[in-house]
Amino acid sequence: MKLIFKYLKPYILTVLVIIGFTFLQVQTELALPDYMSDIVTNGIQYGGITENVPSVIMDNDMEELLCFMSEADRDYVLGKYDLLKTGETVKVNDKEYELLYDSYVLNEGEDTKLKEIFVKPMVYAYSLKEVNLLVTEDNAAEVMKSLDEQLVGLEDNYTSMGKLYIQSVYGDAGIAIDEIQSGYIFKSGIKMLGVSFLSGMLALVSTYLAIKTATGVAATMRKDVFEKVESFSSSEFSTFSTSSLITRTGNDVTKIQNLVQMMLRMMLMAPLMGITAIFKVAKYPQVSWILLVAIGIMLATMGFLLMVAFPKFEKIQKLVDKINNIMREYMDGMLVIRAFNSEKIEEEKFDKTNKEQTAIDRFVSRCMGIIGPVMTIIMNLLTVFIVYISAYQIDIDAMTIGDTMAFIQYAMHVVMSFMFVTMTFFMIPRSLVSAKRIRQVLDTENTINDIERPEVLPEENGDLVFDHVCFKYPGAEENILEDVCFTAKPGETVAMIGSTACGKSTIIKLIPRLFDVTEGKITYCGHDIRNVAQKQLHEKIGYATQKAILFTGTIESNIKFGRDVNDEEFNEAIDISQSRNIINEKEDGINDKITQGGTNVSGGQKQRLSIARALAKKANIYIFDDSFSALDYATDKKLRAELNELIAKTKATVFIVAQRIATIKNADKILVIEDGKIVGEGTHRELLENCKVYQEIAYSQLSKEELENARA
Amino acid sequence: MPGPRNKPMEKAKNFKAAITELLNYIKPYRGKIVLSLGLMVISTCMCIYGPKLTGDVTTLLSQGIISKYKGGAGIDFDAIKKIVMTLVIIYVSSAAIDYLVNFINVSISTDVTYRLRRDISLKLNKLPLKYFDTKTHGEILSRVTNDVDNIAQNLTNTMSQILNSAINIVGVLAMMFIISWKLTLIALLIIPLTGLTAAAIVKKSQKYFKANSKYLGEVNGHVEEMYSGHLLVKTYNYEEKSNEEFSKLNDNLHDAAFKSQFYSTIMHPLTGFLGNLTYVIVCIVGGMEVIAGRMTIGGIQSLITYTRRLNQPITSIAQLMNTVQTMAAAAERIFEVLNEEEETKETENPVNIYDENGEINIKGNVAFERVKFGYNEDKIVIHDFSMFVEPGKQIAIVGPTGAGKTTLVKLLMRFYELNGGTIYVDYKDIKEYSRHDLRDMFGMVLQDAWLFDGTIMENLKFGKPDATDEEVYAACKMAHVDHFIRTLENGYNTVLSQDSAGISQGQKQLLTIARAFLSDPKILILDEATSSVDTRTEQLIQDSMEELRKGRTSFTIAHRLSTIRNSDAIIVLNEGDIVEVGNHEDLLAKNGFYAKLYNSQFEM
Repeated sequence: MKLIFKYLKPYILTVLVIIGFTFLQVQTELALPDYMSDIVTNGIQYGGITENVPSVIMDNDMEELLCFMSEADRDYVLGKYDLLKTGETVKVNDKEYELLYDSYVLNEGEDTKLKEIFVKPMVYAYSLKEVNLLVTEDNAAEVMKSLDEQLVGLEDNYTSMGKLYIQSVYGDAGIAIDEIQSGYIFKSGIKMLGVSFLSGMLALVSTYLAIKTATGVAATMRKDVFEKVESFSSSEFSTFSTSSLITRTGNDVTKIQNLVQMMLRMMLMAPLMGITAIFKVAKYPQVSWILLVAIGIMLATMGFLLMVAFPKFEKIQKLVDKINNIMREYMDGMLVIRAFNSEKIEEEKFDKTNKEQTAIDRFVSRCMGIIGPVMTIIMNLLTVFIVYISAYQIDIDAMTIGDTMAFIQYAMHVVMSFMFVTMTFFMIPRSLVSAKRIRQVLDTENTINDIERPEVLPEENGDLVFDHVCFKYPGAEENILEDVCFTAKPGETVAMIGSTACGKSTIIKLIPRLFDVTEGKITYCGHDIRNVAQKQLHEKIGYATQKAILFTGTIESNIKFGRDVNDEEFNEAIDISQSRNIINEKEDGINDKITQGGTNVSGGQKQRLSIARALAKKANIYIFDDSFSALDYATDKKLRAELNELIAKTKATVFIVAQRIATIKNADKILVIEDGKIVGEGTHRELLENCKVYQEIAYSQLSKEELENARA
Repeated sequence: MPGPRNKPMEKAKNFKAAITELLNYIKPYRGKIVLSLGLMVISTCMCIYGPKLTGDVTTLLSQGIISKYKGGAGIDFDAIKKIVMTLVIIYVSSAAIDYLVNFINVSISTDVTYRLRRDISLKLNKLPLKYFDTKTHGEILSRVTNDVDNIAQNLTNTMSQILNSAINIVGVLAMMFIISWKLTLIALLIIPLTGLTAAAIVKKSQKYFKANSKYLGEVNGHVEEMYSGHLLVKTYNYEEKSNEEFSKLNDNLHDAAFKSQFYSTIMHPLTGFLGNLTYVIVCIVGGMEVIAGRMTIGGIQSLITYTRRLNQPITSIAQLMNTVQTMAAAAERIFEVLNEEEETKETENPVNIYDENGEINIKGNVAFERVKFGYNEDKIVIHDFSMFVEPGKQIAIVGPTGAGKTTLVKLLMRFYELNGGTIYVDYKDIKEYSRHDLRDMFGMVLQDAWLFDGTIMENLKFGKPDATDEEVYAACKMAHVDHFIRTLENGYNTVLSQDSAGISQGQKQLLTIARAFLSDPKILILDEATSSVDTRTEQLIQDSMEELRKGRTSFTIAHRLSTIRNSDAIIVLNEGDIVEVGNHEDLLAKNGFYAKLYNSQFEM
């Protein structure tokens, strides 16, 4: 997580903008149900009447109301209203109407006192609407008394009844109540549309920014990981496997990208949405409790799955690997299996794992299958119960129908947010594994570095000296090389032979400082190679690796490999490495394409081209790490002969590691390595005389008689 | 939730054929499938009816409250209770049915998966080796895992989802029409807009997804190359160039990743906005309709729920079509394997090679008569080869790397069919034996010793499952590997795994020699160790092979001169073709390819 935040730092402003925009988006999104509630309650039920006292009222209606008021109230009310004559115009909701009758018109805005005065009289008048009864000052008290009995239990509904009354007196006064109503609904609708458009725009912009940030973070991270790995010496490189480094640079970074994107969008939005929605529903505690029940059931289901099904996922992965392994094993050993008539054994083995996986798959799928129905049932029943419980609230006007409908929408948002937040609890730890793997790479300290003021190597070739060199691989317990001492002079060919893992390749790798010695020192032209800039040291060395590697490109780009090589040197390298006929075979000659991993050339061809690459470099030291193994004897011989000519000319030092005695027989100096120590040093003939290990190797490859012949 | 991951779509070459085949394959589950789909229809219909009832409750509420103001009966709680009870029953039972459907579907899909995997594994055993020459292991593996998984996950889900979406669309529209035809028509205008927007975005994003995966491939390719060539990158000072190249590729990827992500995620805000638009219109127009008395308040509520519900199947149908396509592609690849031509049929009446004790009773002579063979019809590598090998003779096969030394061996054991001529064992055409019996006559030791995950004992008994432990010990002593095995912590019960540490390549080869000893074959096929084995183990291997060859007809793929020289006959191969046959002296005297090959080791 720290790593992700570190990479998010340059985007801090963007992130803040995203947070702000997301907050606004949530607010706008959640304002929609409020508008809907408004349309349903005020618009439909109350006919678009928002005022609590009528702004226009016909004189007859007013007189009826006045009957229900006290003397003082009457004076107050009449002070607020002007009586206008038929035919005059009044303005209601910004629209002008011609009065059909003499009417009272409110001269200023309504105030609290006016509202209080009007409540009860309006309820009385509303109740009398259906009854044909003329109320006068004389019978008012009597009427009020009888109505009071009728109105028992409706105390909570007075406001609503007042609105309905106002609607009816507007009708009486000749004001188009339909227009008021549809105007109200339309106005709210337009507002809603605006808000939802705004919300969409906000979502769009924050999505844009979130993706910009996520891909940006990923690109920077990928670059950093790649460059870090490239800066590794073999020492650091070897602590990871190549395939793991590839995954870390590719897959893991992509996972982080997805995580960041999700964090900036959903993980930000869900809680904001949930919290805002909770604030909205908290207004109705009498209904909100049902929401808690729903969330409880949902968390319980998630918890159940977390405990029962999730641990099995790991097991499924293992079984998938196992199935893969059995298949791979089968295909690798197909010849043997068929030769031994053992198909049945393999089939049974496969079947067992297959059955095991089927059983566990079935179990997990059935567990996970609960989620869908449970979520649907929670959502559906929640809606039903909200409506049911709200019914009692509506009855006492503690809630309106619009409120209920809005509440349902909010409740859905809350449940969804909770679900999402729980899901992220599963997802984040998984993605963080990738972050950890990336951090491991970035936090690795390079062990091989140039010193501050490196010494400069001379132009011409000099002695390369191993001075009591010991070497231990990082993390290993024992030295792989023990007290290695030898000197290689300009123009000399030094060969190394010994069994696998005896340390020959390791000696070679110390020369270009792929690893640094643990004890002793290596000097070249009198300089400790640790005091020389790596770049300059590498300039001096032409290296052909044990496993020939070619890169995507052309034959030419592979041989030149990023350096300027003149035509003469280039052709010389091709000729000596015996690559000329490879090129002649190809349609496009040196421009022939090499596919990734060099899969379109054979092993022997690869090796020759990789030797050409080493030779194309005008180096003082050439290293051939078992580079001749895939060549047939004849090619091997010819190559070495031409190489010798080159060395005689340039006085370069050559190191050859080999398995075949024939390859190294003519070297100026052969080092016989066993268990990391030099156990023999000399020419082929000398070693045959006095080195037991060398003799053994030789005998296993050439018959004694042939060795005698060779010696003679 | 993250945006839809629209990977570039894979398409089946022949969509109809692939789907038909898949449907045929699941025929045995017809009953279950029909039951599951039937149940799903019921549950979906029930669910569709729900919002209408909920709306009715709201209507009852609004009417009740108005009547209450007017001094009427007020809210009819009894009627509401009744509807609520109905709703609870509907929702609970539909959820229960949903789970039942899921249960049935899971059993179908896991069963199909099991069968597919089993059928593929059985099929692989019956395919000729030739098939495996044309396919990489990774390719075949991905059919067993990825393709089968793809079908497993989508098979039943897709079927029920397609039906579900269809019913939902029809059912919901019907309900909407009942509530208000006017609003339904308006909603119907917006819904295609949503669909079209989604489709347009998907289409547009496909382009960027393709670009994205292309650049991702390029970045990964570069990373892979530079990492596996790390040594060269270092010693050739290629680091800066490599970083430069990476930066370039990385920038391309960044750009493509941004675009593809943006286009796929943009769908949510856009469809969200269109969804809100419908919502708003329902509120406004619905409001007007209620005033006009053509609709109830509950109707608005139901319509809001319905329009939201309508959006979902429409967007998901677009995705389902993609799923069906990839599923068809996966099915096509799987059935391609299952329908692949098998090894040629065995003879009806195979020659009996066993005596009354069940021991193999043959002499072990081998003859090649005018054998003609090529891995490809149009690239014949063995043109016309004849040779007779008497029982107990030792034959060496030599030639430069890649000359096709194992070809002859593969022909002998009938891993490939000849293009012409005949191979005889004990004077009988090898086609007259059953493959099982023919292979029973042979023992084989290969260069890259193949051992499976299991104990040493299991590996040794591989060719002869009924061998006693004593027989195993004896075989190991002869192969000079008994001592080594006993030095291991768990002895013969040591578990070998892919990368068993502590057991070298050479020792593995000794184990395979012991395995050959145990199966006691009449005819041997040996591939000598190469340079990857240290000298001492190599000597042991040589000695054990020598021991094993005694008294058996043997074909040795030779790398060592000592083996070649003592052979009764040497077959010299070059570039897949047999160029010379004879013993060491004859061949040297001939001064041909063999002599050149042989002498090149000594002349410097």
